[in-house]
Amino acid sequence: MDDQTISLRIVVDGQEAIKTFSDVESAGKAVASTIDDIQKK
Amino acid sequence: MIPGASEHIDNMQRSVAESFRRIGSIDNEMGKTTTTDYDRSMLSKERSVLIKNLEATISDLSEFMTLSQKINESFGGRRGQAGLNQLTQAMPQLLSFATAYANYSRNMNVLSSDRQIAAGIKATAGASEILRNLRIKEGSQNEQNLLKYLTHLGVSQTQRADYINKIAGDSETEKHMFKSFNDMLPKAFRSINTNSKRRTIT
Repeated sequence: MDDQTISLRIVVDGQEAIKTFSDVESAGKAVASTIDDIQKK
Repeated sequence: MIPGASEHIDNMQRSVAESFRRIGSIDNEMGKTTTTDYDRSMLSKERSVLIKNLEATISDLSEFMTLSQKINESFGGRRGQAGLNQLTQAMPQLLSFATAYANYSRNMNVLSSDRQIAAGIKATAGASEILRNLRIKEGSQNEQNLLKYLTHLGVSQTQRADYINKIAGDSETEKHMFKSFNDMLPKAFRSINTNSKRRTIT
């Protein structure tokens, strides 16, 4: 098992997305950037 | 933005960052040759629960921010702005309302006391009046957005995290309970608007 892999299942307004990242750091950055994108809209 | 919203977003962002830090630290521990099989098994369980909580928090955060934008757009005009100000003033009452019904939802298997029900009805009646003054049409998208938004504000992240921990791994229960979060406020409003009896509130 690769402990560094992280899969996140995110559901917003009934829309579901599953994203897998190769490590925790890149998952954290991707989430932070998504939050920034939403805030800028 | 409605008071409490920025703080709510900050808290959720902190919770997300903290979860990622803890998962990173767990992965480091699991990668060490000195970690025992028992510890590895415990850490793996904690990691699963953290990911469940993380997913719920990110979903909540994304939805809350999207709702916040929609609400700002809906109340963008002069009349809308006046309505938003009114809503801001009534926020403590509305929060108490949202919390009362969130509690009903969280304790679905526990019978609510008469006092709890009476408090819920009182808070709902006040909130319902505000919504009428804001001229939000019953069943409209605006009403749904606002109710969802208030539910987010009324239920603390800690409550949500506890809740997720209890149901981790049970997707059917999860679906059912989250559905009730989304359903409960419109039902509560309608029960007051149609002067129904208390049984329709739960």
